[in-house]
Amino acid sequence: MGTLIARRLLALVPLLVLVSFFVFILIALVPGDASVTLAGGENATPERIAEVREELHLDESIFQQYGRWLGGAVQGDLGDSLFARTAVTSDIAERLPITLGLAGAALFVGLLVGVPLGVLSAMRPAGAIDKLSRFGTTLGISIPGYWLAIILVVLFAVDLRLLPPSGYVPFFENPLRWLEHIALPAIALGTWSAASLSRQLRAALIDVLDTNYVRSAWAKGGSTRLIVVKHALKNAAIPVVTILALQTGYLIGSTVIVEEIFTIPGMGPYFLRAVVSFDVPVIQGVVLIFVLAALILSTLADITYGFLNPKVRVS
Amino acid sequence: MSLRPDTTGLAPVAAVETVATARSTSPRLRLVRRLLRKRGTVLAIAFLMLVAIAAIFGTAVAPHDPNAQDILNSNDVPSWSHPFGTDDLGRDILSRLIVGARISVRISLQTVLLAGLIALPIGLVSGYIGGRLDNLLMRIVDAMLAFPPLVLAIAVAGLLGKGVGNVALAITIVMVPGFARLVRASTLAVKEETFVEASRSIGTRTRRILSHRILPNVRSPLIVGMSLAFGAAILAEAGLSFLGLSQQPPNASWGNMLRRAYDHSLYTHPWQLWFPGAVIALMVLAYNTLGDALRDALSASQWVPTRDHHRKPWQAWNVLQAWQQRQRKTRRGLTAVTRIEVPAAPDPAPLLAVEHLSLEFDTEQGRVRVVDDVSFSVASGEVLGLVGESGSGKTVTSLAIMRLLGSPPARIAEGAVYFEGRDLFALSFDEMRAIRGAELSMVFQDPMTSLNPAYTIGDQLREALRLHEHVDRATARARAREMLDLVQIPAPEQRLHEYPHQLSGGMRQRVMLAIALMCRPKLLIADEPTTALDVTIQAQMLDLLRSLQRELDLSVIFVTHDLGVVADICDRVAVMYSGQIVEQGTVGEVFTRPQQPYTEGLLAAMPQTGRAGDALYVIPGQVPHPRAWPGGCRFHPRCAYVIDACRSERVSLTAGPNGAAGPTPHDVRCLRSGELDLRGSQ
Repeated sequence: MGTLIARRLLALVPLLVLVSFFVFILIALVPGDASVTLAGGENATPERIAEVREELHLDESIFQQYGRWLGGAVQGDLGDSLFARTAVTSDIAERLPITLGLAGAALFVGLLVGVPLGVLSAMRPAGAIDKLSRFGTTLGISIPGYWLAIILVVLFAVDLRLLPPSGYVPFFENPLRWLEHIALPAIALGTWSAASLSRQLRAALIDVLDTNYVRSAWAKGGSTRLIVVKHALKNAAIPVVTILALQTGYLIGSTVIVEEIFTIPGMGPYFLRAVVSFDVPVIQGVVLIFVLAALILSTLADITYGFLNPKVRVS
Repeated sequence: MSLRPDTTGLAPVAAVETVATARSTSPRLRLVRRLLRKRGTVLAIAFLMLVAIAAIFGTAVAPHDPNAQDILNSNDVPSWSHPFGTDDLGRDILSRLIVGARISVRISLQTVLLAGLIALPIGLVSGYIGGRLDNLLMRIVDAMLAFPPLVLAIAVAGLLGKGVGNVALAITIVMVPGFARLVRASTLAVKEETFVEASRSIGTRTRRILSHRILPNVRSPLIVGMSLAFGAAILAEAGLSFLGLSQQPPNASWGNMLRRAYDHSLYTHPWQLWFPGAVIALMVLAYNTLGDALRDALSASQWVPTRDHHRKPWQAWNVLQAWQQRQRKTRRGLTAVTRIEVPAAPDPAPLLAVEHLSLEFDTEQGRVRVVDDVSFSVASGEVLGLVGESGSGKTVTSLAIMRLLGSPPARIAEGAVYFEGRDLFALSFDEMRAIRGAELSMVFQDPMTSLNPAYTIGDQLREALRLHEHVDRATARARAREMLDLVQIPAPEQRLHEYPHQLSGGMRQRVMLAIALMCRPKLLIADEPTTALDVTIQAQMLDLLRSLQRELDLSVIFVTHDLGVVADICDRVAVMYSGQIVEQGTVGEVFTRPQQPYTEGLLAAMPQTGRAGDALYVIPGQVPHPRAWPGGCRFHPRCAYVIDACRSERVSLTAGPNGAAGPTPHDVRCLRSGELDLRGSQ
């Protein structure tokens, strides 16, 4: 198991180099002379343009720039915002926990609803529960999260006045108020997770329930619960865990719009403001952090995979 | 036409031929027909066509000018002149939705098609050529896949500058790596197929192999992948539009309409939020529905039964109907019983009596009988061989005794199975469960897949015991060790902690046997337990079975197609053909004086019977499909002794010439049983 983890971590290194390079060369997408655009376009003063050119070392080759940026990033320095003049690293450190908290809550909703739904559907394919759940999950993966978020605001905040329509209270300040503010966004994000997770789990479980070893378990005199919970679920979880990690990576990305809608001061609004104003250091920093989060998740999934699948673990 | 369900599990060549002929009858038409079978798909197509009309004609079909403001009629609720109402500037919402359709349709088509076109050569080259190039390309693809798609799309679209074109470019970039992976995976899958290797070996050019051999097989998965990506593209565009990065106001897109309503009408006119969101959701739903249907239709038409040479009927049905079964309600773990009459138990009751058992499968093409009026019995301590070619119904019969056939499609149509006088078909789920594995056990054919890969051998052994007996852990562990010893597995203590994949096939089958015997059952059903093993291992396994049978005074039903094994191990034998028993009696009787031409054929086909140098005898023809059982004697098309009466008369199982009167019962199903002089073994 130890070697498995070590191998996975080692395999991350070349991937990280490539990924960070892709993050950095996002700057190459900026149209026209980057220093002019970043300095504010046509209205930019020559002094400002020179300043930007100097600050981002735009005169150097792209590889030199990348080396400089990566060197800083490894030491925890992602540069300064071009406009707010604040350090990107400390800005992110402030906002990332908020976003991770939201993503975690959304994942919780996804698991809480998705797993039981998937299991119940798979136990009786085309039964009443399955039909209902397939209808629900088909809707769930088709409805845009931001629209669902708005509908939830209309229903629960505007009409029923049960929950606040926007805003945020830190968890450590008041957990209950935090929950109040995070509930709607988490449901809006978690619905998609629940729907897709339950569909994946259903498909995997149905396949596993058709295997010879499940037939063996029936032949032993196993109960339905034993068959489903012990024999089938662990094997069905193997493909699902990988997909779940991937989806959670996406989920973290989807927080961007939902945070914007609920005015949650996480990574989302910070990122979007930077995108609209060509604040390249901020964009690079945020994208890098999102990719890192997704990579960490997929590595965790690989390790979990080892726990679930003895073939990987023992060999 | 649809694929004929093939329960016979015969030579793969025949099966491939079936597919080939099926393909030649206008595959496109069949695909369309299959697609249109579901109401949801038809609705989805209808909706997409509606949106397509809106996208193509735009302002021409819009009832109002989509950008015309009318402050006096702002925020109007839906009415005749404004079916979806007006927005905060008095613009007609329906007209704006119609114009906005063009953006969504354009983006979804453009991005997905372009991404597919870019990904296709990358995936093909990477998968087919492999090596360093593949390594490099896939590293890049992996790195791109690591990005959360929405974040990457926002960053790219934002940096390129606002506008529909840039959003399209951003979404395309995000989509390419996923498609490339898909193409590469499908390429790798077909690359190793024999027909590609054959092409290579006769010196076909690489480019030709790629375009004529690989591409046609990569096409379907790519089409399915692309069709499922349309919805994602719509969602992404609408999201970016919502964020103000795509279509710029005042021109309408679904996403920016939603944003406008959210910013200006959330508290005052929240109904305005419903229309743009619902249209986006419906569009995605329609695309996904179509994509799913396409996937089902394509995968069903491409099912080729090549890999599993020794698939048993139970599995053949399974594979064939997997996708149909999934649509249906399946009661797992207990076969359904729909018999009307209950045959009486024989008196005196043997250990097991199968009385007039008939089994049916419900298929898409109707009801098929696969086992027809089968009766036999097993006495205590007796070993009965159940013999026949693949497709004769022997495995299904034994699974029915255990009530392990899934319902649907399987159904016990008639008959009864009495185990120690108890009618197994009258038992409840829990009553049956208490018998299974405890008094009545089964060992299956394929040891490689019959053990759960996720649990240790020890766990699976202990479980078998603890399901039926209340014993503590230590006792269970000791018994597990003892059983491994009994089935002659070396170093049992160590094996208990190992996983199935660490054991060889022979070892696994011994473990299966140990599990089956864990609770000291009275009857063991062994379904071709040696077929999947090497010849030398087979012999060891048979020796083990024989010695255990004597040691434990076990009754055994030994299901096999190998008469050599029957001669070796069985006391009595029942020969099955096309779902019926055609001959049964003691091994000595049946082998030396067979009364049924089919038995004679089976005996002649034994390698042990033929003389060295002679060509091995083969019964001409094939086992008929249950749907196509011939009238009269079911064996008559393959029988060398056929007379006219065989073709028309119903033949019943009767006591053979030296049957009831003789020392041991010997039943035969043949019109000419008295008059033929058939050759036995030796």
